[in-house]
Amino acid sequence: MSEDPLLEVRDLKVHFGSKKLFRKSVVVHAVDGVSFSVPKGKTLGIVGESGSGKTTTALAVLRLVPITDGTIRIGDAEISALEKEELRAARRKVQMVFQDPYSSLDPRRRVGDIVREPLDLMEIGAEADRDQMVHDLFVQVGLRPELAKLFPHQFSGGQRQRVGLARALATRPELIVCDEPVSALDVAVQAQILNLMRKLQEELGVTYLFISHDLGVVQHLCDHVAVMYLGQIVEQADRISLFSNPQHPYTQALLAAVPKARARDGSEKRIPLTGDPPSPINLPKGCRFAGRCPVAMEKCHSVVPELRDRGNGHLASCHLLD
Amino acid sequence: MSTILSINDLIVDFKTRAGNARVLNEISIELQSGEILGIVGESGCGKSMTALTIMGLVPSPPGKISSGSILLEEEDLVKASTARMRQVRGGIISMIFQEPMTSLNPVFRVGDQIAECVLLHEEITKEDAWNRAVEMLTKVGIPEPEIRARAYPHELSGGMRQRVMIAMALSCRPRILIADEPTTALDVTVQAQIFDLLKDLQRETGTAIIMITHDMGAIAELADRAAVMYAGHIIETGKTEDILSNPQHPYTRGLIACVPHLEENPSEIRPYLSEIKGVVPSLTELGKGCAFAPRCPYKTDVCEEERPPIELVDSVHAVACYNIKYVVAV
Repeated sequence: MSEDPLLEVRDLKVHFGSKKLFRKSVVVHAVDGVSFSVPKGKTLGIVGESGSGKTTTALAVLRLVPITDGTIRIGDAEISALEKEELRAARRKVQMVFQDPYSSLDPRRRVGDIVREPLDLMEIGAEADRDQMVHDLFVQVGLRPELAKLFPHQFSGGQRQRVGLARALATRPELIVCDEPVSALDVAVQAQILNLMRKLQEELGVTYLFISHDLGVVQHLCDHVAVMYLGQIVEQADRISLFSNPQHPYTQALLAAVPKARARDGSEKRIPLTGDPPSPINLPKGCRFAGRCPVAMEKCHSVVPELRDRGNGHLASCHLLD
Repeated sequence: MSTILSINDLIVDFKTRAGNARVLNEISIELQSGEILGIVGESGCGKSMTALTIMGLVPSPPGKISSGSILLEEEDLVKASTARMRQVRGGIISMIFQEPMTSLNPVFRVGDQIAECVLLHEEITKEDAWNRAVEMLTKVGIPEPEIRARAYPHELSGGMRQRVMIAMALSCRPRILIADEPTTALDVTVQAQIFDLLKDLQRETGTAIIMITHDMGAIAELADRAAVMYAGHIIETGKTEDILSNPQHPYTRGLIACVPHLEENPSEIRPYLSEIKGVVPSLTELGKGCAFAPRCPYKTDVCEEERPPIELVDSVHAVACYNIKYVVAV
């Protein structure tokens, strides 16, 4: 992933803490040392179970949560070092699409105004041209422009997500962070939105950071994939390498757990994964996955494995591979 | 195998401001004892409404069972009294819901909640009911069941809560279990655990299961037979293998084709996903023809005139479509 990265994240840490009087303070290690980069015009998928820190990573890229440590660079701007006005200006280059199209649109505003708002805020184009820009954005995401007068509740889930995409595209961002953009949609609508996202990428060359728990969707859309577990990346590779040759036991278990929508032939064996992920407050000492790992050794419970290159840029952190 | 539940030409209407919505339109399903039947479809297709109707939980008004029967062996549940339905619910037919957090009472210990269910349906002492609760928790694979029985729902993870729900649903040894999207709110690794658990329990107790889901993968994983629903109609039923590898209805084919399936060896080329054009119709505005006709690439004049009846294409596989010949030839 060395070719001209648009987004570069180095050793990102996001810890949430609460200091309490007379009580031990508690620190949640939501994201704990994550590094990745996304080349221009490509898509990086981040997968993981709930609580793995994937959404927090996405929010940190937009500086929507305070960063504890690490650097985030978008193009030549170091987002993690900017404050106030500079940060606002830099945010023009990066936009977000949210999971729930029902709660991420203001119910009291017409959708045309919702799409127009970032144009006004960022003072993009002459004021007189902005109506035309909104019109063009609607066409781009496959909505009839006359729908701009309606309110969000008059739209279906899929149409709302199109409005969300139009709003994200309004500032002509280079990077769009998508947090589970299709998981609230029915499968038929999901296909329409995924196709739209592909089309927009081909036309505009926009880069996606795509957060999802759905491995089928990630395999379809993403060029590179990072697998997160309990605040860390345990495996990262290009799409072909990751899915055809998963190295980390967690990735293998995750892939095996996905139900296959075809007739059973009895040949598949599932790697049983028992229990739930441990709490991000009291982290285990060694490998964070050791407690649930079917092939854990003694060493795994005491020594933290390193994320190393296992050939052709396929990164994985597991003692078994060392 | 014998038929344990048989739904015949069931029609359920809802009065809405926009007019009458026929949420279930001449639904007929048979459930054999000891099988897992999957009902699959998108939101609003009537799959959850089918479950609520069986349980006698259709809110009325605005809902109304307009005609049809639900036969539990010889007994018609549509005509059953409220008192009788209370015995049936939990005792003979029980249900687990999608969201395990909102379906458990947050202020009672989970053991008490399971015991309450047993006490309602059986003449049993409180102590025995508690012991049954612990026994059920053991059965669904909860570690340290004596301690966990004393826990409150918020102290358990999502997967654990769903196990508690399953324990509660099975505590009175029902003959039918209805699972309405039981794993939608859970992570895939936990989902796999719950699927294995349901399969094991089904094998052990012989309970028939109706599994309601939007996920073809879940159907492939669990169900012996499947029914596909669209806009209040059943449009295709058959053995799971037949539905998945030889779907006949254009909607079923579209539904399977539009999901990006996980491949073990993905190819370099990624075609666009196939789409089902358009949107699900409003139930208040269904015409007299096939409900899928406006979105169907194969539709002919007759599709818009008359609703296609569901007919057998082989011994167990039934489809409601006039143009199967053309659809399958493609």
